[in-house]
Amino acid sequence: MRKKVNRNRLFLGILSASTIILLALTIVGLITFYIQVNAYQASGIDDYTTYSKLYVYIADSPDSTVSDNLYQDLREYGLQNDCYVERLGDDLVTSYTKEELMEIAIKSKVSGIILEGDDSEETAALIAKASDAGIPVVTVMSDASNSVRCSFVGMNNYSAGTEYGNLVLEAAADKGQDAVTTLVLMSSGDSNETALYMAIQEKLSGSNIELSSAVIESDSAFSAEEKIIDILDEYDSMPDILVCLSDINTRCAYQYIVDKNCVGTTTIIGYYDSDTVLEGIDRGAIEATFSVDTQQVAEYCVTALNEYFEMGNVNGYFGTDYVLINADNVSDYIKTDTDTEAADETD
Amino acid sequence: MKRIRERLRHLKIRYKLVLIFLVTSMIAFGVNLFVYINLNSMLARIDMVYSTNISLNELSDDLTQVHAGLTGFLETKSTDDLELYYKYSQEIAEEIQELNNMPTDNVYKLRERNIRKMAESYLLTAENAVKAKRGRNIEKYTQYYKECSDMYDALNTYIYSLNNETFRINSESFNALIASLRYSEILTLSIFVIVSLMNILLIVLLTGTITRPLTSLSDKANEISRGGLENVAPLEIHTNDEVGNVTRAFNQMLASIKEYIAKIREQMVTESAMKEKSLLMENQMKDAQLKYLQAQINPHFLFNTLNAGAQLAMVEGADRTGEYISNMADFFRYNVKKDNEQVKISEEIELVDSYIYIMNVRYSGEIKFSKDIDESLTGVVIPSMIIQPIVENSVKYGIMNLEDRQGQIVLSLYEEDGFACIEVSDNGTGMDEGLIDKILARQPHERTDGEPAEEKSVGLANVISRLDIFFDKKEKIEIRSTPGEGTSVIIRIPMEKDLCTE
Repeated sequence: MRKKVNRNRLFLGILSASTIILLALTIVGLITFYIQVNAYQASGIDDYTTYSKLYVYIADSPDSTVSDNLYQDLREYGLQNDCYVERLGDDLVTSYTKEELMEIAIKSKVSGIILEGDDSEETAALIAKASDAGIPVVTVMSDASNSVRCSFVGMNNYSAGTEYGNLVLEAAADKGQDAVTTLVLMSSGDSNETALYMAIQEKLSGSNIELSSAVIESDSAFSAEEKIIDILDEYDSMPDILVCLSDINTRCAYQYIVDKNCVGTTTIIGYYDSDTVLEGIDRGAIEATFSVDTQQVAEYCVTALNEYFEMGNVNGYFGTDYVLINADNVSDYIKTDTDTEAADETD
Repeated sequence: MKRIRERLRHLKIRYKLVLIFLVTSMIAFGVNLFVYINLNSMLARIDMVYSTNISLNELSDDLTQVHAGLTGFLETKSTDDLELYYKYSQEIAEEIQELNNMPTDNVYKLRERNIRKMAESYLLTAENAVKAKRGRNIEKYTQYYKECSDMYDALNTYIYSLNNETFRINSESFNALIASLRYSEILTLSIFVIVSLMNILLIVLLTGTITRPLTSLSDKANEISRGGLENVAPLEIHTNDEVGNVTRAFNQMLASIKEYIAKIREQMVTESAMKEKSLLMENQMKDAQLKYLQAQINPHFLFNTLNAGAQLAMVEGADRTGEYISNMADFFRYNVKKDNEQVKISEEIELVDSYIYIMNVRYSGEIKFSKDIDESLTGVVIPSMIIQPIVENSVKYGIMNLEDRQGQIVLSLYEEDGFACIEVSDNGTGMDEGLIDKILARQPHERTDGEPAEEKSVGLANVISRLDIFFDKKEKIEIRSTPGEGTSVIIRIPMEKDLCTE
């Protein structure tokens, strides 16, 4: 009898335990099911933060490193100041010209435009049109001096030209030749570059340096490199000094002299601190380069537009600093870049 | 918890079964509902995946229609084209309300905003173109149309780009959701299997609480049917439902049967004891009577002849002889009449009186007999033939052989400590301690003179035995004797109502 009672109790215990286990399994299953069903939030397409203003950045050559870095800084600084900076034309299936992008920006009723200016009348007209539509335009890096843009953020062309002149003189002195040929490679030949060129010319006047210039118009993709080859191939002997006023020109010229085995005979004075340029300086193929502090430029651009909205007008010119990078300090920049990458990887 | 359990115990089986059904059904229903709602929301989300593409395509189509309407109207001023333009511009105006309107850090939402703003600009410019066409301002509407066409191209590019990007992302979402759905299906199936198993176990557990007491009850009934009712322990009652009631009734029935059996057994024991006692009494009585009859001549004959003698003596004027014969007749009448066993003490005293008279006539007044009677006790009932044999013993063995003094017998009846005491004292030869002990130990004895005891009279032992039987040994017999000085026999009879009085 007692045995039977014990057996019954054992059976009951097993039954109860099984029921509890199954109940726990059911609950766990339902929770897992709930998590599984609700886990997938469709792609984050609906996650966003809104901002009070939308500025667009329209670059001459959106693919250049300078533009890219400047845009990143603009975006970052803009987000800190309750405005979003869009690089207009990015990731669209069709490529638009700067003018077309200006039109789109005006029709899209953006809050403000940050534009790499030029001297063309069309640009001036579009700036006027934007201004009529209540959209302020800030020119960056190169000005549209004859337009109604509300402000320009960039280097002082004259002082930059003087600095380039000094570097050319130093390079010429190093060569110790009687006559030194110097070619200035301009990217647009507009008034900004012309002013810069004039400043170089002024600085070199009275020296034994023979100065000439060429405009590399990159009106289509990959054209810059072809044009530089065309121009340099025309020379019987390579110019002693090459002064490049754009990032892409510097990189193409560097590649050219490497290909032609002219490293050491031709000195390049470049523009901007892209990786290729820094590598060139490190290897001694590029004498020096001027770098733009894109972060400062970005801050000035956003501040100028915000000030315009707050005050109704704004300072017409924001002078930005330029940094000289040569063999003496290039390691700092390369190192800094490496550090940044390392830090990014750590993050 | 305790209260709920208590309430469950009191529930009727029908409600318990309904409760079990409800609990398991609710669990199954709840799980189904949960799964259904979640799967439904998932399916709704899958449906929504391509909704952005669909609305963008609609916008693109409507834009084409508007632009075609505008172009047609500007070319031919056709009403149909104008209607087409108005109809679709209205639709576009509604559709773009769904699009984001704010600058955001989300590239898709930002593109939506640009599309919306551009579409608004397009509609405004198109409206201006229509107005200019109506005003026949060719230059203006040509300019507006050009702007519209540029915007139309830009809008299409934007919509196309956004459509491509969202389609890519939506496809990823769709694939992920479908994979998730498949996984969820397997999970759901597993959950259903688990829930079903749990419900089965739950039903087994819960119905067990109903069937278990029934099984115990049935086992107990089987145990009883196999015999050994007395060793069967009562069942424990865990519930207060119908089974609980039946179990309680079963336990009560078991207890009642046990009690009944015990009662019957006790009754049988009492009855057999009573029967035994009665038989013994009867035996003793018969024995006494037999011995008495053996000792006496036929009392009826004697009684009749003595009566005749008494009448004769009266006729002849011999009064004393007549009285003597009359006393003898009384003495024998008593023996004849009192063949039943219970008599009052007064009747016994009368017998003793007759006996002493006869003895005094026989032995010329040698016996001095006196009585000290408490009249209130004369109604006490005792067995017959108790006092006379004691007096006869006193006469025969006490005072008969006295030579130095006259024999004296005193009969006393008094109450002491709730007992009616009958005391017969004589001043005879007395008896030794050994004889007294033997008599009190109810052992038959022999006289020292060699005469067999109780041969011709009813002996003391017989008297004591009958008293024992009659009073269940509640009476007390005391014999005090000093050899050469006399003997006192005291019978203490309990004054119990049922035994002593009539």
